[in-house]
Amino acid sequence: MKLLSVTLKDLQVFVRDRGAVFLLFLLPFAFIAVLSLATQGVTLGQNGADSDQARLPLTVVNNDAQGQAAQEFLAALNDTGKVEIVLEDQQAKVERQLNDAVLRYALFIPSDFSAKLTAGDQVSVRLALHPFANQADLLTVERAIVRAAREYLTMGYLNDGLEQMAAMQAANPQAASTFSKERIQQQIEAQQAQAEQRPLITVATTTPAVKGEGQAAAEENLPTYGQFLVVGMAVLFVFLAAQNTARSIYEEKREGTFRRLMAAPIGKASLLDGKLLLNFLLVLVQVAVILVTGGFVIQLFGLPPLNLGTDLLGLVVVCVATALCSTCLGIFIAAIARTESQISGFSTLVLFLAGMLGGAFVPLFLFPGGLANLSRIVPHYWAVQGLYGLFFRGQTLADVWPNAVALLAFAAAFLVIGVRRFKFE
Amino acid sequence: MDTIRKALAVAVKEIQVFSKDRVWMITMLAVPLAVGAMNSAMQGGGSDDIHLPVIAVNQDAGAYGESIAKVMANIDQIDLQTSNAPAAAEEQVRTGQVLAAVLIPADFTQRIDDYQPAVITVVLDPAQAEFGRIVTTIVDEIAGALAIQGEIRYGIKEVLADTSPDAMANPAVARAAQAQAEGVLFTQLQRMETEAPIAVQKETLEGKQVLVWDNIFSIILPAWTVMFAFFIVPALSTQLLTEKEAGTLRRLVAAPLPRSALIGGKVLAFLLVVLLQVVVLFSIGAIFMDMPLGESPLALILTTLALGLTATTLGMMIAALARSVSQADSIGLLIVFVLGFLSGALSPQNPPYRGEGLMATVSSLIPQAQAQWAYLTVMFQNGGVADILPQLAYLFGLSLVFFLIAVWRFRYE
Repeated sequence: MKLLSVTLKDLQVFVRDRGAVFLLFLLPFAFIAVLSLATQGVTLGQNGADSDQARLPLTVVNNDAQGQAAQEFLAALNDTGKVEIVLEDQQAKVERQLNDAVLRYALFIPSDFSAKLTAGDQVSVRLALHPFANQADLLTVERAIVRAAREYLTMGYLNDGLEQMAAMQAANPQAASTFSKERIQQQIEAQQAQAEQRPLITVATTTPAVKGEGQAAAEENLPTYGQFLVVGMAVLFVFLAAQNTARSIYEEKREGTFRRLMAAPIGKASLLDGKLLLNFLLVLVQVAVILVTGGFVIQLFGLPPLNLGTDLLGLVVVCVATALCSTCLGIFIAAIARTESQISGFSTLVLFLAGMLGGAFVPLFLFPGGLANLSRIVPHYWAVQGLYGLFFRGQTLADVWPNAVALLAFAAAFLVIGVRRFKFE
Repeated sequence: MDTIRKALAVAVKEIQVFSKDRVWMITMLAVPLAVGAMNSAMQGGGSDDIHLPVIAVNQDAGAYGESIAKVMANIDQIDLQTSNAPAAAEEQVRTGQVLAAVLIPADFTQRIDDYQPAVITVVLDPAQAEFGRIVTTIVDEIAGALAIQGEIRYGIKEVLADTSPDAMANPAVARAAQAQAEGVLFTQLQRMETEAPIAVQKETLEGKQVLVWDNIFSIILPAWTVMFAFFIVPALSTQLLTEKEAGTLRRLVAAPLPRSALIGGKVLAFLLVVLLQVVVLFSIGAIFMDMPLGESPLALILTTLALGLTATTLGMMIAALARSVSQADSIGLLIVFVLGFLSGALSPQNPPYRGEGLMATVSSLIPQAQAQWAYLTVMFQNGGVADILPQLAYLFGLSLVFFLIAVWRFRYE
């Protein structure tokens, strides 16, 4: 009962600071809106322009604009579905943009492209890269160009193969007439017609969560980079809230109010627990604001909403465990910090590093060596992976309970060490 | 003159206070290095450093299925595991253990030989869909090469089928035709690999005016230095407000000190911390990481001064506008993290402010982005003061605006 009284009193103090209340709601909203807007439709390592989610923008200077082969090659490149072709007329302008890093890569088609191919000569297309070019994007673009070249040349290879076979069969009088020019042409036309209707081999993309709903549904449900980042940033912010807990405790110590309150008929435990309970509730409110903003409010601004998954119970359990862990981390910080700047500065940076190590910014498989294994030593990892599982991987509480248990274990460790080290005066 | 002397005295006193808080000083200097090193390690240097964990399930006993698995195993960017169980592979994707599962069905080769459409399924981890697209593209490219084989094989088979049955009745002739068909296939595949009619020629730009760097750390460090310089914003604003709340500012105002000397001294101390931070970090970068410092020390000094002034005057403005310490701290964090990210601190080798579109416009308005831009121009493009005048003007202009708002709104009591 006394615990609740302390909580209620602290809440009244908090509510009087209207700016702090406003920030409690504004901060999560601002960062979700800004991140979503900034990364809307922009892929990892932009090429300088917005694109739709599935395609990377590729600036192309077609110096053989009248050539049929060049047009067909570009059509094949577009058909790969991997790049969004942005045609530019002026080569000098594109080269300048590349130099200034406005563009990170561009494709140049030579003026003799069609003529050389028609003559049976080899021709090179030039993919110019700026050193800023994102390597993951480059991998996609380069392979899409190779794929398009092969697609465009498929019937050429078939023609050459059949002609080679005809030359080999020339010695066999009974078969030689079969490989006539007319028959070869007829076969190529038949296969071309088939290939246009349906490719011989297709690559279907799907996800475990939406399997059975078809490729279109799978691709529609793939999260954007912005959504991936929003989850990581949400976890980072929830753990940064530990500083508020630490600061509120530190301020009471600094101003001597803890010492005075101890003269009142309230136990130390009630006093501390009351403060922790309020901060725990505030973190929960912050989490709720982040989820409601990301999942619903953001749609009002025309931005793609965050998929909050299908298991509400799992979501509640992971969020409560994360909020509890953050609150207990707050008392741990308050117990070991010696100055206010250590709480605001040092702990911010340590929590930032922990968020980075926990995979809040980049996927763990990008970590070098055994660094990814170290991720498990920070609570951020368990929170981030739990939420990814629920939001993006179609997981439920049955899958993410180990994450919740790990977060509670961290919370218990922070609480025990924090309380043992804590001094009320 | 007297005011300046008194302001300097306040600044010296403040620095003495800072120096007692060693943890804070270490934080301002060591953590950017640690974060920069970690970020460098995560980002690596090129496509060879990308290792995508993929699992392949080849249920096809034929040549085409085997070919896909073999080609994927030889791609440097893919860490390939194999499995015989599609459900287990999908479970690995579902639990985030691998980025993607490539499922090759049992009748894959048979269908291609029968000229029937065949499908390779790529199951992606939805949480890493951006990277999954690379896997899809790689599989798509392999599929393209196999489709050419399938088309040629089918074309030869169809035309050969027109040959009179008598001609193929002789087993030796039939075997020879089969061997010739395989020879044709081999020749065309060799041609496709080694002398493709359309070749892709990759060229990385070179030259004095192109931004280049020797190692990833050298380009990440300036960006992180700029981002961490703005940690002075919450530090300065919370300290001013704490003094205000504790009443020490009011008492100091009663001392024989002009208000401008008092506040100027405090700000000067924080400005010196930022300058020290930049000097230490850049020295470490230049000595140990081969980070270039450019050819114009004046441009470097002016950029650093502009950065320091922007951060400290922003801190003053926050202190003037915020009503409590926690408000100032929260706003400060928002500025450090959200604006830091938007300025491209996470991927300075791919800065958003140098692109086009909404993201680039938003990013280029952020002071952190302008400071990074100036540093990169001076250090990596050997630019001089004239090359960074727009960035310097923007930062000094912002400092003036922040300072005027702070002076207008700040209350000592």
